[in-house]
Amino acid sequence: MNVLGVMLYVNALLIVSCYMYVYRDRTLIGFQLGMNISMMAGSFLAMSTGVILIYQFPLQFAMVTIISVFVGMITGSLFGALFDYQTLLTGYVNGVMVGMMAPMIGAAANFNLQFVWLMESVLIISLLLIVSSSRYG
Amino acid sequence: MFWVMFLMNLYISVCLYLMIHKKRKIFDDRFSMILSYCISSVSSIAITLHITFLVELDFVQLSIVSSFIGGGIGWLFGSLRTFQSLLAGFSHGMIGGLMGMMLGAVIQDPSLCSLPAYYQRAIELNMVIFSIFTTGLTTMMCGMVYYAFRV
Repeated sequence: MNVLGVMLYVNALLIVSCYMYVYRDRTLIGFQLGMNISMMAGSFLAMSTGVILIYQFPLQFAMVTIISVFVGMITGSLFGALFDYQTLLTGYVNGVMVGMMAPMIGAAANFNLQFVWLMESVLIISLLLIVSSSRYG
Repeated sequence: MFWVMFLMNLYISVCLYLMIHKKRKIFDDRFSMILSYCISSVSSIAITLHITFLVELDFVQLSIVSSFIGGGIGWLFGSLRTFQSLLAGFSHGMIGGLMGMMLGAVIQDPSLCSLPAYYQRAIELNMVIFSIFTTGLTTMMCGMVYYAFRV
């Protein structure tokens, strides 16, 4: 069984369910919390996607970087567009920067499979923090 | 070709600076902070990536030059309104400059990140792809900032 593809699918499911959860409470969240939510969601999803894709396709460095930049950009913009135009800009730029960095980190980790599990657990912990902050913030 | 792309990036940044400098009386401090950190990070990534492609220097000199350029861009865009925008622009400009330099070094020498070795032709193709891509990012950022003054 291919572990990396399952991880990518689980990431997509987690981020969509987190988006629906935040969408329900979007009127209760102020702009400071909204800015931090958009930065966190976009950057960690871009980091995890870039590392998984460079493990799967080590020969196509350019294509993987472009795809992970677009993933971070679109996720940060979608989470930021719930609140304000300026939170949209913040999530956009953070997604771009982390998406450019992620395939380099994944390639420098020598294709070790424990590093992917670390990134996955960081993503899950950050999504849990986002959900709990939108609940009790 | 890289000279053309480099001058195009520089031209977009200067136009954006002149436009913001003309309208600097009308925005509040939160908007100026976000504006300075967005523009300085994206444009310093693009400019230092092209400098890495164009200039033949070794790694340490290149990192010094690119961190100075990134910090200068952040300083310039942040110094329009208040000090918090200057701090945000300076730190993100320096991070963006170093990241663009690292990306250019990895593209030119893929064994730096323990990627498998390419042919020479593939490296040149990657350089062209990344040059076009970062110029597109800068143009998109310019469009979003131009749209932000309308909202």
